[in-house]
Amino acid sequence: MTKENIFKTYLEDSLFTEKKYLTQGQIDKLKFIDPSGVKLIEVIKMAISGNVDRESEGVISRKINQYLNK
Amino acid sequence: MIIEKIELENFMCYEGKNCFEFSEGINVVIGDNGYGKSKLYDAFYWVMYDQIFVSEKKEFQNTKAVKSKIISDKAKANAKDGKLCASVSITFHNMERDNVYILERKFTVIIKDGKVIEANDSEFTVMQRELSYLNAKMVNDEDEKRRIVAYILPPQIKDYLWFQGEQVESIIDFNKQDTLTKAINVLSSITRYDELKEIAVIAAKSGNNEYDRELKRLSKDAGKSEQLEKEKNRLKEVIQDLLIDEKNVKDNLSRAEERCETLLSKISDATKVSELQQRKKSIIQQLKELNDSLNEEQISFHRKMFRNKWVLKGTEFLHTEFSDRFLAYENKKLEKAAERKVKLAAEDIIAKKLQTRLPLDVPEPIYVQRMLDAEKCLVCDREAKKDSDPWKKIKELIDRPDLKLKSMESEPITKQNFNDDFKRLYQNGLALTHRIEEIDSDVKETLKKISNINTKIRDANKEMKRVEEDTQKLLSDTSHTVESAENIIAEYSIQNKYAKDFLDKLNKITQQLDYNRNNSRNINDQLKDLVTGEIPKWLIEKRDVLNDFETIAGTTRERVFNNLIAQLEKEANSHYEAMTSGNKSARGQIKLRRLPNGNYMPEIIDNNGVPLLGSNTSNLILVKLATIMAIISAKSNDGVVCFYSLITDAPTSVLGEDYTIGFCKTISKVYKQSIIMSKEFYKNQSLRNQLLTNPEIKIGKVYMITPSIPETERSNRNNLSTKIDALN
Amino acid sequence: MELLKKIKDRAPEYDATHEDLITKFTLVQGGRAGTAGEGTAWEQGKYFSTKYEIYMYAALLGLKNDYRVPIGTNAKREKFIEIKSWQPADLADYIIMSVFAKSVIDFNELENKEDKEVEKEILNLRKLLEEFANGGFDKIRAKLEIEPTFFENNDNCFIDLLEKK
Repeated sequence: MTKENIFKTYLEDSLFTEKKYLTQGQIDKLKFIDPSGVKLIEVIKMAISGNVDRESEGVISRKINQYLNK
Repeated sequence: MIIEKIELENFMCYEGKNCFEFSEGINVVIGDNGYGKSKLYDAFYWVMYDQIFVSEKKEFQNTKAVKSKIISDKAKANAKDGKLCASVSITFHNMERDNVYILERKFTVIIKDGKVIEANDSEFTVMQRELSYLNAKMVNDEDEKRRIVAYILPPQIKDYLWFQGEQVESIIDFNKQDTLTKAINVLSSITRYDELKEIAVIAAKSGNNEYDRELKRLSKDAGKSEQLEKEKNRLKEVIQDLLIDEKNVKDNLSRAEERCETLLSKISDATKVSELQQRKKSIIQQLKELNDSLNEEQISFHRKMFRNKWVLKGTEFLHTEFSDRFLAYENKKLEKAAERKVKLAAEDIIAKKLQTRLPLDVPEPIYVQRMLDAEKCLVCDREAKKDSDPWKKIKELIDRPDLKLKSMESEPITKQNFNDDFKRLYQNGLALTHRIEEIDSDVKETLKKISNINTKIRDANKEMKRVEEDTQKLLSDTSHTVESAENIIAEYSIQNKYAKDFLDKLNKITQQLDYNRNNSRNINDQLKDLVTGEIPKWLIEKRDVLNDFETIAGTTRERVFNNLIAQLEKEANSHYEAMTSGNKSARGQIKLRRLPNGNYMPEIIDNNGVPLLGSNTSNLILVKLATIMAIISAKSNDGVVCFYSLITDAPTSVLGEDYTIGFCKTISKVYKQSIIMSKEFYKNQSLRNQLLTNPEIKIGKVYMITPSIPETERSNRNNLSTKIDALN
Repeated sequence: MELLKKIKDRAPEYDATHEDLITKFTLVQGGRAGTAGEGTAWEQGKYFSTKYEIYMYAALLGLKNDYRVPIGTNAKREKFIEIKSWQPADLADYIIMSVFAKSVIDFNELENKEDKEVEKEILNLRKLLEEFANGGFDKIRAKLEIEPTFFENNDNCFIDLLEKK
């Protein structure tokens, strides 16, 4: 399973539209490589990348924290 | 990847050199129990994994443990001193790339003085031909060998491709977490989602911690904050404990539900058995009563000969004869009496006549006597010579009293009087003859009564036989015993109760969780209220994002998992339907039902989603087989034909005829090649013919194996070898 | 009732050759008549509970078929219980009645006889009864010879025998 596949399955979650992060149309068009402009989505991408690339949990966690610390 | 052939030498019952060639499609090795089918499966497995499946222990054992048992007894018996080995070699052909692999495993021992000197390990060699027409090259690198083995049969799916019929239950025991995860992972890596979830949990936790620290720092009342923190932590622990409890209860509940489900399918049969037993008991009671009353009737039957006077049958004429004589006798008596009466009457008249002449004793007798002696009447003084009329007339006067005396005697006519006796006999006979009329109907009625009871007994016996036959059939169909049927009913109600109890417990725990979580939220709010100043926006955002991430990771994992389950279910159903299409009886659909602990169990449901009761063993096995096939076929890219070969030993033993053909059809469609060991086709000629001629079955090679010694004479295995006949 | 009483004081005799036949079908009593129950008779496969019962049966069989067989002069005779003890009494009376019917005794003449002579006639009556009973036994014996299974497989055998002419 590719990062793109996994990413797509996450995007199917209703939370995005419920919490008004994105519209359905925007979600459909989104690809992994595109910057989404939504922090949550970037976090998810980091997690997926890190997992597929076999980074350790600690490393991924730190990356995410750093990203959100601004 | 096609298996082209397997060559066995001195392996188990395959003494000497033996070879099976296979092609695409469904290849079948037919033999009765104990003919060597399992050993053939063992041969395949042994080559690849250095293990044999020991059926008594239902587990795999290494060559080290089995040792020279691997070698044919006959070979051992006939061996001369020196080396003796058993070997199996399998030739694999990858049709797409046209490369060939020959895998061989050998186990060698030394024979010295007729005794076997054990060895421990087997040797494993791999030969490779890059293209089928090139020469074979030996593969020496151990890693490369392992890689080739994994390439031929990927480890994560090998259990679903090469399995024994006995293993089916445990391969598809979805109530065990690992078999479920393993199966789902074959379809698609759910593990990754679990890992992502874990990452999210950790991230959210650290984000929340950071946030809480900030709250504390900004708190206007450090002391209170501290207190609330402590309380919050305490609640956290309580919630943790509750969650552990919850998991346990869910596991227990799942087990109970699963048990109930399994029993449910058996319970209708078990109930039937139980009912039949009840019926049998009441018939036995009935028979006892009937036999008792039959006995009574029979005992009293002969008494009626005398009590009901049956012995007098046809004897009325005797009474008639007697009454004729009695009548005659009475008449005669009457006659005599009448005669006597007449005589008496006559005497009476005379006496009366005398009385009109003179009163009695007038004159007195002495004077009358004087006249008689004088032969002269003293009244008229006339002569009365003796015996003359006048003299007689005078004599009459004296005779008169005598006469009267005499008549008054009324002596009996006869010496004896038996009138009473005869009358008694007559009347007795008369009464009895009335009874005689009824004898015939009485006898008939009694006989009828006895016959009725006998008929009832016969019917009861017939019914008993029927009940016993039905019971027997039910027991053999479902392989219950009478005791096990009762046990099933008992256990079902117990498990039901357990399920209810666990459910109650679960509800309680849920309530407590809610309660504590609420409290926790309250505390958070209170902590927030204590804050002076502002919490940095980015921190708030960070916390929210991470919490959302955690949520999404959880729900996405569930969603993906459920989709995989649904996919598996759909695939399994299409196989199940294909396999049962020939059978008209209700077979339902496969549903993978989610249990409280998150595991799944396969069940069969009807059109309304209700579990199908009374599913017999063959349906259930089919469900499991369909599921196993689904795991493999759902993954295949082209969705139809599986690249890897299916090898299985006797999965059909519980299927019965109808399902066996359906099974074969489906398999030949789903797998490019399959090798089935089966006994079903052994005795059943027509089934064999169907196998060979059915156009929907892509048939490969079919073999029949027979042992050189029949099963019953197996005490000495030193002559055991196996004969292989190709049927096509 | 003097006559009847005198008759019933008699105990008839039977030819000892029929002893086997009698014991075959009759329950052997311990001592007093009728001590064993009906059930016992049935269990032992017997049809008659007492000897006088089978005697009555035989007598009626002979009377019905008008078949009398005098007991041989040299034959050994067995005696058993007096008629007055036979049960049921009305059946015994019926038999007596039947014997009377078959006898040549003139009822009216009988009444004119002296006691001694009456005794003689009673003895003749007894002899006649014995002959009819003997005839009945003979019939049973004959049936047993020709068709032994008749009595074996058939619970109703004695009742069926009554049907025959």
